[in-house]
Amino acid sequence: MALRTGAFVNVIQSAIPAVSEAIALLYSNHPLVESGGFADFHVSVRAATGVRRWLRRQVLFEFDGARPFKPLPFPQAFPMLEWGLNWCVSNHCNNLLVFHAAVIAHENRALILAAPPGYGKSTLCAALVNCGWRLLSDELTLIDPASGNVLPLARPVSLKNASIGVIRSFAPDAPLSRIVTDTVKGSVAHMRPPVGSVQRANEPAKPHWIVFPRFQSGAPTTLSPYAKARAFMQLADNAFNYNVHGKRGFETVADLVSSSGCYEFSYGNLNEAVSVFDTLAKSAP
Amino acid sequence: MICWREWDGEIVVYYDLTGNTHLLNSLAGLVLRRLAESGAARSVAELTESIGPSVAIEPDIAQIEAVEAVLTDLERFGLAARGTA
Repeated sequence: MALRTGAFVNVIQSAIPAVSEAIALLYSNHPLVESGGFADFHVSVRAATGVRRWLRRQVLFEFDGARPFKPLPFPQAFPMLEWGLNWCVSNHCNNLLVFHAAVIAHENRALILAAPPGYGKSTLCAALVNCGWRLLSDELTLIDPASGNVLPLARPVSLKNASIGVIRSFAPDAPLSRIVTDTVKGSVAHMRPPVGSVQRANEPAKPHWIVFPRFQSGAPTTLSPYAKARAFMQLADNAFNYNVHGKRGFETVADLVSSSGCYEFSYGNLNEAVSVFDTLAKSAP
Repeated sequence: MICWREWDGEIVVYYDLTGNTHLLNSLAGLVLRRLAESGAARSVAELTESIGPSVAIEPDIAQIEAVEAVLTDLERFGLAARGTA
């Protein structure tokens, strides 16, 4: 099948039922593209052959026939596809600045959530998109250096470990995939992106806020201004290809930081967190 | 070529020869700016004098020593070079 995700066309091949089931659930709002045309990425997820399949079944991710990753246990087939598609974008789209950060938007004002894994970035992103914010991406923030805009890449939101239950309670109607356990990231489930976010996949957003979130159990909810020079350095550290862009990368990140309000955000309660960002959005000029 | 941006006294510098980006505090940023503005070699004493008392430095460190330390860092980053007297 050829699936459009944001600006990219992905040709995906797999005969694994868990993969097709998850695609049917999580990509049900994404447009299909007629096969035979141009595609950005040709990928497949298939069962490994050979003696391994008798000992312990494994799954392979292939990109243009090459295998960039070691095989994973068979039940991890769908997460492997998702991680592989992220890898395709982060490793091949050097016309864009690609950050490891979630990004959502309110009235085309983009809010970038940058944080290391385990800091509650995807949980916060999932909660906010279930409260009316538009999902641009929960994993890869794509900045077009020519315009400075954020390009949408609304794909399933990756939830890990405790955040799966948290989002199930917070948004019981949000469609979630089956939980896959014992991955390198722990237990993983994916949430279907809201249909409105998928339908607006061609609408870029203007960067407006950059937030460095951190979930801490029982922590009070605090949103504090964050020094822009430090925000610059953190963003550059979170970029996959900042160095590839040289001076243009520097100028793009500098413009991004200059045009955005920069904050650090600590939270221990998701409802309070959503309320803070809704207030922030309403106070925007 | 060196590119920089300043926000609230802190400066981020990109040097295209190394491809590295550095975060400089207000004193380091001021030293770099003075060096760039002067366009000619200056002694550490002249440089320190040109900075004046506008930037707070811990009181137990002589200002000239602080500027020396900044110059050592800038030299290490490849952003400045000491000439021979």
